[in-house]
Amino acid sequence: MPRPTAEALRARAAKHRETLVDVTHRTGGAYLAQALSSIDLMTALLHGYVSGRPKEPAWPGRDRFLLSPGHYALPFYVCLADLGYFDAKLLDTFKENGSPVELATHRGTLPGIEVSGGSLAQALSVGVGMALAARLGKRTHRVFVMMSDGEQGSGQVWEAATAAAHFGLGNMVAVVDRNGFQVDGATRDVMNTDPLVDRYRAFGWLAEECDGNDMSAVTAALDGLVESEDPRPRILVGNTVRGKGISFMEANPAFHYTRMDDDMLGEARAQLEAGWDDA
Amino acid sequence: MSLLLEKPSTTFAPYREAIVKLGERDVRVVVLGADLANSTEIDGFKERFPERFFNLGVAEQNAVGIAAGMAFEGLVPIFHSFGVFATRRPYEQVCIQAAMERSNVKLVGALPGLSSRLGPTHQAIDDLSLMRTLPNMVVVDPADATEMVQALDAIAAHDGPCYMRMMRREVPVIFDPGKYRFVLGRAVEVEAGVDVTILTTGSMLAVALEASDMLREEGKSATILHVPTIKPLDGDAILDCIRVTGCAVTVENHLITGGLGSAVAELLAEERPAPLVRVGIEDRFASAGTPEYLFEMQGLCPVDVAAAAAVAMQRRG
Repeated sequence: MPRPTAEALRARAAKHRETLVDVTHRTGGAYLAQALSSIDLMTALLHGYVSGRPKEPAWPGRDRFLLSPGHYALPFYVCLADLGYFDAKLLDTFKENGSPVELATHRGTLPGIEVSGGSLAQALSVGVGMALAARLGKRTHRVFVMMSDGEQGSGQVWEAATAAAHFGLGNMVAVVDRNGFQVDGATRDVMNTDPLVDRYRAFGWLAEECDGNDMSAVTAALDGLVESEDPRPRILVGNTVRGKGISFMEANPAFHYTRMDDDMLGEARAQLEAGWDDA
Repeated sequence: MSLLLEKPSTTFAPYREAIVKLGERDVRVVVLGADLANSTEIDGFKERFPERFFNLGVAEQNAVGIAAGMAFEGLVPIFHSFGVFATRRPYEQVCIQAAMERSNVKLVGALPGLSSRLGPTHQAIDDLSLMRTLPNMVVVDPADATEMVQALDAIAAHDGPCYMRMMRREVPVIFDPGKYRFVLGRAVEVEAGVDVTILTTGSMLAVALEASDMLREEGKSATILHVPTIKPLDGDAILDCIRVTGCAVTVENHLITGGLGSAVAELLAEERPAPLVRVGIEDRFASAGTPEYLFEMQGLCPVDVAAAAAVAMQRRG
């Protein structure tokens, strides 16, 4: 199946933004700012680069997609539902007691979820294990790992980065949603991890960065990284804006966990409809 | 029929051969190390199956995550380190990626309890406790080479997370390999008596056997129930023995909190209250030194077990 164009992925992400805002409003709240910073990267990956069979989620030949920060569950659910992994009506049960659509991702709750991500900084290690298993089994699928920038302060991420480079895991593709914020504030104030791309290069990765909310830039960077014959593990650092697309949320630390009233919903919808200019 | 050899002996590095044999039988088995390949006796596997051997360096948290990723893909990863570094150091990773996920990750910890000369940083006196408290975790502490070799096969065959203590280098042989069959989750009666039940785990079986001889000289007969699987605990077997003797002693190369002693105390308190004396390491860290010296300092010798049995019998009345 040919890869969707950047234009098609941009339109898909725009649709997902509307769904994210609606679900946040309908279900009483979500980590919306992070959902909006990461949805372009997540849409590009899940709709464009991660191969899978929604009706056969355990298909052995699928690419593995591991979401490391489980708090980014909602945009992941929205993509999975749109791809047909489960009924999109389930999104209305987001974080209800007894619902599989939990506030944070847990392996086994819904098809397509391969790792539990509530405790940060663990999925890159799991990805290394999956990539080593793929190589041992002489299988050609890739292992994608999506991370946040807040968790880059954790030692385990760098243990895993060291191991991925040591073993020459060219079948691994990591992506970081570098939105510049973590729970207690700006990442550079809480615990600076810049220059992030240089750090990964120094650790032996093929590393690139781009505007992570510009779909053309994202697909150009991913094309280069995914198709490269380079034996190193590869990583794309997407520089993004929290709350991207909704002016009163953009880079506003007040919105870590977002509750959305009717007025905010109206304003948010109007702004999303108007869109933004990448330039 | 005794399950024991008439005369106990020793053997050298039985694990090294056992893990290679397991690898020959089961192609899903991959062996993970953490810069301790020789020290944990997986160097033979590394030579025999280099493509299924992964040295992950001094990075145990990462190693447990990698093991889980491999297990999710259908492999049977067995991660080896010293007991302290297989449990204390990557505890949250073990909790989430192994226990919570019920993934098929096996942890093998060498130098259990007071068996390292390097002091408390290397003495796994809390490993059984840490692992036992995790839901889904199976916890095994074998007594000798015979039992350890069979237990390795058993944990590999079990679909789910396991922690096993490992004995290395000069290892005692107490059980007769021709007669003894280890079953995961099953305790085994080694001696039958009527006056006191001695519950042992791991290498302390040898200590309990000596203590039993001492008691016999004083006209008392002990049941020795060996409990190699700390979790799931064989509660029925333990209660059956205590129904006869009315009192018990637990013996472990571990803190008296959190391991066998605690597990038995919980069982008795809820099911059949009876006098219980726990022999093990009191609530303190040991110093550096030889195991013999430390056993004496911490009260883990046969004479300590016999004295504990006397106290238990006295309390029973």
